Amino acid sequence: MGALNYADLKVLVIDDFDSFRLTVSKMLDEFGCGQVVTAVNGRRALKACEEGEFDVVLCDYNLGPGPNGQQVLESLRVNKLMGRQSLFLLVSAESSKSIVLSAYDYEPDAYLTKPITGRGLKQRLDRLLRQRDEMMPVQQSLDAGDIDGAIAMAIGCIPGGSRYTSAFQKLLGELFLETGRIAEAEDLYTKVLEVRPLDWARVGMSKVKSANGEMETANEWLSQIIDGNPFCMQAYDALADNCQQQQNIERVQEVLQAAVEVSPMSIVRQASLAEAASGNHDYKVASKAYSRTVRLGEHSCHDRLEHHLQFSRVTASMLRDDPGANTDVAREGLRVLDQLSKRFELSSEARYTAQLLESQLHACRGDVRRAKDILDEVETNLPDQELSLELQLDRVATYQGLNNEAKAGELLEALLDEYKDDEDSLRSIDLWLEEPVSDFNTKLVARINNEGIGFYQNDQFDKALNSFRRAARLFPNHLGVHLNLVQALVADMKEFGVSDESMDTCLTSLAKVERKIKPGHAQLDRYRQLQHMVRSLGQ
Amino acid sequence: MKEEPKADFSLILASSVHDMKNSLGMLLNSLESVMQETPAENEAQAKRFATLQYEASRINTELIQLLSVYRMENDRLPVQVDEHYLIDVLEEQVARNDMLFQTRSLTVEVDCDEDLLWYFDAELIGGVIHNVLVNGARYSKSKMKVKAEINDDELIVTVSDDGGGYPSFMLGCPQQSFVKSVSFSEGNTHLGLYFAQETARLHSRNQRQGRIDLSNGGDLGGGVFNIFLP
Repeated sequence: MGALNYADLKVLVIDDFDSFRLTVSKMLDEFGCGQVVTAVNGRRALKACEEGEFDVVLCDYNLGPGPNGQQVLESLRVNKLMGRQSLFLLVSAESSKSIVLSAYDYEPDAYLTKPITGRGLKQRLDRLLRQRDEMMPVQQSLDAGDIDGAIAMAIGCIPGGSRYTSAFQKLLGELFLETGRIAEAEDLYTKVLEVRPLDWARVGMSKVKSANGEMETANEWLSQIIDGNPFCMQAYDALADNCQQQQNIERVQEVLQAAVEVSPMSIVRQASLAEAASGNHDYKVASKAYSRTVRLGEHSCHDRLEHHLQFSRVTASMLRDDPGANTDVAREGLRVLDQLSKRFELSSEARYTAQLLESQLHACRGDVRRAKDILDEVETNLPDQELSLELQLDRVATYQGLNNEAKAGELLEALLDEYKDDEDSLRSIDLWLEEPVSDFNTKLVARINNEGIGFYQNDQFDKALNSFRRAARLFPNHLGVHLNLVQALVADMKEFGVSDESMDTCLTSLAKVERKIKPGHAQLDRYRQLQHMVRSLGQ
Repeated sequence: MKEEPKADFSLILASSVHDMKNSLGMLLNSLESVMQETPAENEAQAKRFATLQYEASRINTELIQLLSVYRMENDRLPVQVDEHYLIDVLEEQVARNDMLFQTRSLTVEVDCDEDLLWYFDAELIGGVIHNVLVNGARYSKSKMKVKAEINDDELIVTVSDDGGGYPSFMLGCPQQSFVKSVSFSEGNTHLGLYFAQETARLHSRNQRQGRIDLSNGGDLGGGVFNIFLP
């Protein structure tokens, strides 16, 4: 082993505790580090890194107000303030798994636990620097964008029995997958797995399977890995990716919900969960996940305007669906909207959107006058044309929040006409319609409905309820679906007894129908009948 | 009348242990700074520092083990097995306790092939070794030794010392459960050994399970702790 040249090293130490910065800098001086710089918080650290790149960053996880250690790392890597060959060491007072698990795209090179001793730090740095030196040529090729060159070099390092064979293998596996060299990836993972069933190689192998189109096998592998080690976050992420590819958004949500339960600190995962849940119209889960996303975003480079708008949007949807719910979260939504212009530069479209959402949230809190005033203001300022579909649908939602069904209907008619040949747009308009018009959704609602009716006729009420609940979630304005759900609930309660929860669902669904149904509607008689049955069950 | 749901005491205990552990971590950290900034002026002071540090870190490890045992019993302590160089793991534990060994004037030898690799959860096994070292430091006279080798497709890590050895009733584990030998009067719950035993058990391969073993004698004539990982 060659001697390490500490004199060439530029090191940054970040901690809000003076004593820690002092002690560690003194240790680093004693090791002979060429330059040691300290920073008292994340913001100053990022600034220091903008002014010049460091070879080693030693950063505490808890940095007081502002970004935490993991967020500093993410900013450094995303904004390319730190190359692949620099080392980032995350320090914490406790070896908490939740800190270790908060890493998403960017993992630190090492986790250190306080208290740090001079001898311990030196050993750790020696090891990391040796590994860095050995992997440097490969990392430099990657930084230069030469993946094939990096692969060739990494392959060359393995047969020599490098001390870092395992690190080279992990990297190689990922690079093979990234560049579509699937057979080589398979070969590599097979060799590793022959020795030991290590999680990283099993996840890699599952990616080989899905790249080869064996989705079900891949999903089975991943589920098994998670069963054995619920902390293997890569397995959840890979499984969620697969389900996304299979367009099974409900499963994506399930997987991400489990992942977030284990590791709540990753903003990227929270945002993916929020997106999946709002796609499923599961507004409760979506609202909570977006709320966390917004909060985690405060000091993160992954903060997005869309998260803030979506939080308000899904929260308003949730409260419109369930008028009895606690409206405290609406206040949180209003606060988020209020802060928008301070955090982001807003286009005029974003400003209108924010105002519409503000109106919706006021309506949810019962402040109809304020809601109307804001809506009026937006309407006066809106240009006549060139409004995006998303903004138009936010208008529809705002009308509906104010129980102005006529204006909502009018605008929807106009949109249906404007987008009549655009299947994707029609799919998003469908959400607001009594009956979907897009090909995809027409077929979907028919399929779920028929499935439910089949179960109902076979007296499998549990399964029938599942189908109708799903249909009502996906098509919240579909009267027939709501009536089917009520009918199945009534049958279920007649058989197994009345429950508060089922009763609530019945009443919510009936209230929804009540608001929409007009005299002469084909389902009016059925509605009256079911309403009567629910009332007599409730007595 | 409806019965109030009772809070789960073990859960309360676990979260309060978690809190204590964090506070203690801060305390240890400050203590270390104090010792560096104002070095002991005489032997009596140095001894007091050493006692403070030793007892605080003993509480710390005990708390960490309590939490781990709690998680084990609730199936929330999965084993994250990966490939590790033994020399790295062992040296890290020795370095972590460097100050303790210095204040007790102990020399600790690591006897391990530079290239020896094995598969285990480094955080868990590191914790076991750390605990054995901290405990051993209390009973050793002047020397301790940490050794790692492979035998019969199994990793054996041995920590031996030149102290008085383990009391005879503790020898011959794991046939006997450590928790049963809890002795409140002697102030010893053997939690550390229970933790070591359970951690070893969590490492299994091809129907073989990890285990620990205590004996006396060895190279240094004192206590000998062995952990076997398949």
